[in-house]
Amino acid sequence: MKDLSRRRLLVSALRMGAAGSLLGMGVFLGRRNGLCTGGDACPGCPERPSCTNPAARKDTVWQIDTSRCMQCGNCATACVLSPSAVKCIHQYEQCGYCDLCSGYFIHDASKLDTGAENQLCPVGAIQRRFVEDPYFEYRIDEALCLGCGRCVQSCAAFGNGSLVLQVRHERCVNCNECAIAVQCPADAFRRVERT
Amino acid sequence: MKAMPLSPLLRGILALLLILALGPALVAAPVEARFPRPDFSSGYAMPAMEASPAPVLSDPRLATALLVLALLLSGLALYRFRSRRAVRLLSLLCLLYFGFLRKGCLCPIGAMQNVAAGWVDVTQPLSAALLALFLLPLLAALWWGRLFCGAACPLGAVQDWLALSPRRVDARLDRALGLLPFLYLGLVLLFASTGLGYLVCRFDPFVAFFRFSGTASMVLVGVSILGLGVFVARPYCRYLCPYGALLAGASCLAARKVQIPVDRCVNCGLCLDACPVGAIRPPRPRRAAESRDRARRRLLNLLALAPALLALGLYVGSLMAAPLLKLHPDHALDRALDEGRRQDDAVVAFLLQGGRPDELKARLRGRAETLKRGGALLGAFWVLIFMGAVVAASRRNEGEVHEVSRSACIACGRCYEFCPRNGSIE
Repeated sequence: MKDLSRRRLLVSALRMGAAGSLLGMGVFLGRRNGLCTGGDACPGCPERPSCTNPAARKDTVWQIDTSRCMQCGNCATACVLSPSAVKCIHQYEQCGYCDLCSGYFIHDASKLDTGAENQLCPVGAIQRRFVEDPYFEYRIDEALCLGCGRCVQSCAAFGNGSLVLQVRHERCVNCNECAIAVQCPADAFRRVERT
Repeated sequence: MKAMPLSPLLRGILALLLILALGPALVAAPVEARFPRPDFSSGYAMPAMEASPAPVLSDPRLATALLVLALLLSGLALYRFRSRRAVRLLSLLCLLYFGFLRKGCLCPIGAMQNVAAGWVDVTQPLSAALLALFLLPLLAALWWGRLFCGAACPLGAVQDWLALSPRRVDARLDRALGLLPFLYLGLVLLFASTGLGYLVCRFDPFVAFFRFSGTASMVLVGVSILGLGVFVARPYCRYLCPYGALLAGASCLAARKVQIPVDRCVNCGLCLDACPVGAIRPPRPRRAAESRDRARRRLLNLLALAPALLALGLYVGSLMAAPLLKLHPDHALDRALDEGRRQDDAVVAFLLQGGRPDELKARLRGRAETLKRGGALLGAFWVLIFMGAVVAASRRNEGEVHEVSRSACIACGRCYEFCPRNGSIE
């Protein structure tokens, strides 16, 4: 039987070396690769692109940069989940509460009521409710919303842009590579710190 | 807001001054609303913006902690209790949590690509959870072998549970196919680090089942591999998994491994047939030693060939740059711009965001250079793998006792179940 102690020492040394390099690499990458996405996430920041923000050690999730989003409709189809984890959300603070909501009604609506033939949303996920004259509240039923962005596009073009597409993190699986991010023509998907 | 009691002219001048003073800020600020904010007189309160609820079960810190626990329990189940049942139960729990609850993402196999991308591109964020996910199974493998494969990996677990009638695969075919994970590893790392995409995620055969959604082709491939897995145990683990290749390498250095103590073994050979991945080697008779001269000459021939083969690998690899570049989304964008397809979404977005076609072309040229270098490295890596396989095949293949191959053993514990000398295998 060959004397294995030298071999064991060598293997032990290699093991320690491998473990040390792995850990070292982990620490190095964790500190170096900050949250800076290099784009216009933090314009004017002098620390780009090697920001060593300690927040980098926190978890990151995918989110849509609404200033880049062009409402192309890929969010509804490209997500690995069906229905998509992207939903339209309503920023009520920016809403005009209009009677003729451009995000709710089709362009040539025959009557301003809740009839399906007048609605832009293909699944009727927006609920219209009278508040007071002449204001109407528009709420989105997320369970129905597909994330197709038709309402968002119309609201942005003719309204206040209070309807936006956002990734919902209770649904999003947080893939290593977001399938929608790959397809997005406007490169609007970014990894941001989970809040 | 109270109405200002000023004449229209004064109001106009004030507004102009305001705009001039705040001009730069206004440019950066969002577009002024077309419709003014309503003044509610009925006491209506605007609904509060609902932020996404904080994840509880999918919390990444919880997931990391559970992974540590799973690796720990796997080690105990394998080396302390030596119980196949414990390993199976653990693998089922991990399948339910890491597979169906977290829908397969994030996983260490995918995290490997993030690390590769982050290595090259400093703007790729790498959270602590992601790095832990990548490193923990590797560190565990350095000491205790492929614990992750045995019980913690949901892909492995689903194959393990479906391996109902595992057959032996011919040794030479098994060795040849066993090279695929290493070749695939090289390709995956190249793709991830050059921004061509995450191959592992796109071609994961089982994730469609975890998510309960996927394209027809994904489901078809998944079903085929699972079907194959009924007769050829763990096909993805043995012949495809690139992270498994890393784990196999790491577990070669493991301090502790599943082994068969020679003083207790009765040479029944049941464990050999039980092992789903054929990691147990029977005793082999000592062959007559080859003449030293012949062996030396063969070694010298191989060593002489090596640089030529490596150079060939580097060259052929660099040729991959051109076809691979076509897979990058920037290439499609460049084509669209060249062909004047100004209605394309991507072109519209690119121009709106201030992109310049000449900058894009310069970027593409840079990418082509990177791909040439990366492709060359990949070619050389593949040649090294083949050379390694040749060396491994010509190693002295003798042994007096049953041996468990450290790199092939996936720590499933099935051999424990079959060993008639209860507790013989450790």
